[in-house]
Amino acid sequence: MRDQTRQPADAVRLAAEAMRTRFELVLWGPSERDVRAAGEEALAIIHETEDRLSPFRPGSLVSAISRDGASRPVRLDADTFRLLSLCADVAQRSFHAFDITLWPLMHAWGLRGEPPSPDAPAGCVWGWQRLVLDAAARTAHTNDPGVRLDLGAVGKGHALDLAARAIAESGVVTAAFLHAGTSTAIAVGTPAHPFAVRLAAADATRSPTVRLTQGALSVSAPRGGHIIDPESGRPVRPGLELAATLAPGAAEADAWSTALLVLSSRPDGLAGFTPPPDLTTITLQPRGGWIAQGPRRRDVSIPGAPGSADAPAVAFSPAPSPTGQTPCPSATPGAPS
Amino acid sequence: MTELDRRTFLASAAGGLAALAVLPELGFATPAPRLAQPLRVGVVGVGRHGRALLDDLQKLDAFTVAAVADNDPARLSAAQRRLGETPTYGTHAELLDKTKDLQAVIIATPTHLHKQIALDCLGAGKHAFCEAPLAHTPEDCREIAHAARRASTVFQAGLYARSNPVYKLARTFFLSDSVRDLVAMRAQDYRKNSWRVPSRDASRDREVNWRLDTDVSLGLAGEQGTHQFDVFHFYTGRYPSSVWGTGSIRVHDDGRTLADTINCNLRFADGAMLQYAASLGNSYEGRFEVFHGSNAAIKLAWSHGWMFKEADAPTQGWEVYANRQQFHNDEGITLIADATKLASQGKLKEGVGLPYSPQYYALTDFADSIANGKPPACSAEEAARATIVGIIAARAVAGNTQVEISEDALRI
Repeated sequence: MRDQTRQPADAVRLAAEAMRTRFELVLWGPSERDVRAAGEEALAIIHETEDRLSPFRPGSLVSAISRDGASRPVRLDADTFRLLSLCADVAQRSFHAFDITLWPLMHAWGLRGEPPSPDAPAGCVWGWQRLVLDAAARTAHTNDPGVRLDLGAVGKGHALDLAARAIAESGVVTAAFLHAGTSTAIAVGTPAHPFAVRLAAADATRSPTVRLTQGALSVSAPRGGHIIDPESGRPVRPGLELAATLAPGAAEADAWSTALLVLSSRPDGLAGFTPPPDLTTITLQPRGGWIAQGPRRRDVSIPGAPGSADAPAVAFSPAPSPTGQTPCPSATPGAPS
Repeated sequence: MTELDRRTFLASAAGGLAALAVLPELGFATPAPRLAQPLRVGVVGVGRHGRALLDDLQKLDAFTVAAVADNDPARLSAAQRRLGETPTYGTHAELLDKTKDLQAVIIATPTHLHKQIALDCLGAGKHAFCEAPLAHTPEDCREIAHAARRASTVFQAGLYARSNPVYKLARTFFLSDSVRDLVAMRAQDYRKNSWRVPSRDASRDREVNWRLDTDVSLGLAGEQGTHQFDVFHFYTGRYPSSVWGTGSIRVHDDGRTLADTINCNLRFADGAMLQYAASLGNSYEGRFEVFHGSNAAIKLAWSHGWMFKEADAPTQGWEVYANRQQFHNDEGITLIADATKLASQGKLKEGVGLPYSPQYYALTDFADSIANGKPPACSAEEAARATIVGIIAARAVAGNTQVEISEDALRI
C-alpha cells in the first residue's frame, strides 16, 4: 500500500470538461489524498456552477431567467445573485462596455455560426438594465420577454472563484493554481514562489510574464477581429490586440478584460476610463506595445521594459472565442517558479 | 454519414442493430404542482448531494427552504452563506424543535444516520423525503418502512429512476413487449473519484469520510448499486434470489480497506442474470443500465435512453415518424415529440436529455403527493427492499462470496 498521506513529490493535477472548456487544477499540500479530495470537491463545484449558469441547459437558473423572467421573479442562490450584481456593476462602471444580454445580437450578427440577419440589430432585445435584481427577495426578473442571458464571458471565472473558495476553506491545500481554458486563472493559498504566467502573443519573445500570487488573471481577445459593442449593438473592431486584467476575483477579471476590449473600440479608447482601484490592466496595443497599469503592475514583467525582472515563462495565450468576447487561449498553467 | 455509408449501414443492418434514442419530448418536465403557499421544507444534510437538492428546491415554486441542519460546521457555514437568512442548525432535533411550522423534511445525511432522523420527522408529523439507500442495515430499513406505514404524512424515498421521465418512458416500451423475452441485464457505475471528502479537522476525518468506513458504509454495491438494482426491480417487478460479489482496491490505495472496484452477479429465480460493475478508478461509459431482450435492448443512462432493435424485430408504427440521428457509429432513430423540429434547430446535435436533474422530478413527485394525495413515487417499502438487496450485495462483495436472498429477507 502506498502511503498517500505523505508529502506528495509533485503537485496533484486534476481536470474536468465543463462549460465547453477544460478546467485544470494544480494543487499542493502536505497530504496527497487530502489534496486530491479537496480538488475533487472543487471540480464538483465547477460542475454545479455549470448546471446553474449554462444557457444550453433548460434547467439552469440562467435559462429560467431567460424563459420565465418576464413573467415571474426567479429565485437565486446568494452566489449567483452576487455574480449578476457584479455584471450589472461592471456594465454601469464601464459605460455599457459589458453586457450579459447580448445573446440575441450574437445570433443576429452571425457570431454563433448562423448567417447574419440583414436587419441586425433591428428586432433584437438587449441591455443590462432589462435585468432587474431584487436584493431583498434575492430574485431576478426581466422587463421584456425577449431578453436572453448569456454569462459566457464571466461563467468560467465565477466557477473558478467558487472552486478556489472551496479549496481555500478545505484547510488541506497550501497552494493551488486553477484555470479554465487557460483564459482565466486564479491562485489560491501561499505558494513558495509566485506562479509565473506568460501572456503569449504573436511575438512570444516579447510576451509579458505575470507573477500571480493571490487573485485572478483573465485574458480576452476578439474573434475574427470583431466584437459586439453593447452600446450600439453593432460589431466593432477593438483598438487592442489583447486585454488582460488582474483582479481579486476571476469573474471580475473576466468581465473587465471583456469590457476593456469594447472600450478600446470607441473613439476615445481607454482615455476617459478610470479602472476600479483594485484592477490591474495589461494591454497589447495594435503596433505590438504592451502597457501595464494598476496596483499590481509590478507583478507584470515586460521583456525589454525598464525594471522588468526575468521570470520563467509559462504560456497563457489568448485565442478567438465563440462568443467573440470570451477568449479560449491555449496554454499550460504555471508551477511555482 | 455519406450516402454510400448510409447504404452500407442499411444493408448491413440485417445482421446488426439499429439504435433508437428514447428521448424526452421538448416540454418533458412533469408539471410542478401549483400550491397556494409553498411547502416549508427543512433540509438535513447539506453535503454534496444536499447541495444538489437545495439547487432543485430553489427551482421549484412548490417549496421554500425554511431551515437546514448539518452536524459539520464547515458545510453548515457554506449553506448559510448560500441561503442568506435561512436558519441553520447543528442537529435535526434542533431543526424540528425550533422550526415548528415546517411541513416537510428532506433527509440527505450519511446513510447510517437516516433511521433516527426519519423516525423523528415522521413522529413530529412532517412529510419526509429520504435519500436512498434507506439505511445501512435491514433492521433499520424495516423500522423506517414500518414508521412510514403508520404515519399519516407522506414518506418518499429517493430512488430516482421511479420519477425519472426518461426511465418512465422507456419502461412503457419495456412493458409493451418491445424488448420481448428478457435475455440478460447489465449495469455499471464508473466514475473516477476518490470518494474522499477533505476535512481540516483530523478528528472528524472518519465521520466525514463515512463512505470509506466499512463499519457503516455499504460501499459501491450498496451506495450506488441500490439505485441501479432498483431500476431492474422497477421494470421487472422482481427481486434477485442470490448475489455473488467481489471487489478490490485498484487505484485508491490510500489506507482504505473498502474496495474501489467491484463486480456482482445477481441471479433471479427464473435464471435471468444481472451483471453489475462499479469503479472509482475509471470513468469510461459512466453509469448505465441495459436490458437485453430477444427483440431489442434498452439502454438507460440517467438523462438519456436508447433502444437498439434486433434486425428481425417487427417494425412498430412509431418508427416511421421517428427522427434519425447519428448515434455513436450508427445512425439511430430518435423517439421524441417534435424531433424533426428540434433537428432542424440543431438541438439534437447538442444532445437532448432531461432538462432537469432526476432529483428535480423526484421532488416534484414529492410535492404532488403532499398536495394532491398521490401515492409516493417510491414508497418506504419499495426502498427498503431495494436497499436490502444492496446491503446483501455489499456483504457478498466484502466476503468475496455468494449470498442467497430469501423471500423472508425482503419481507417488510
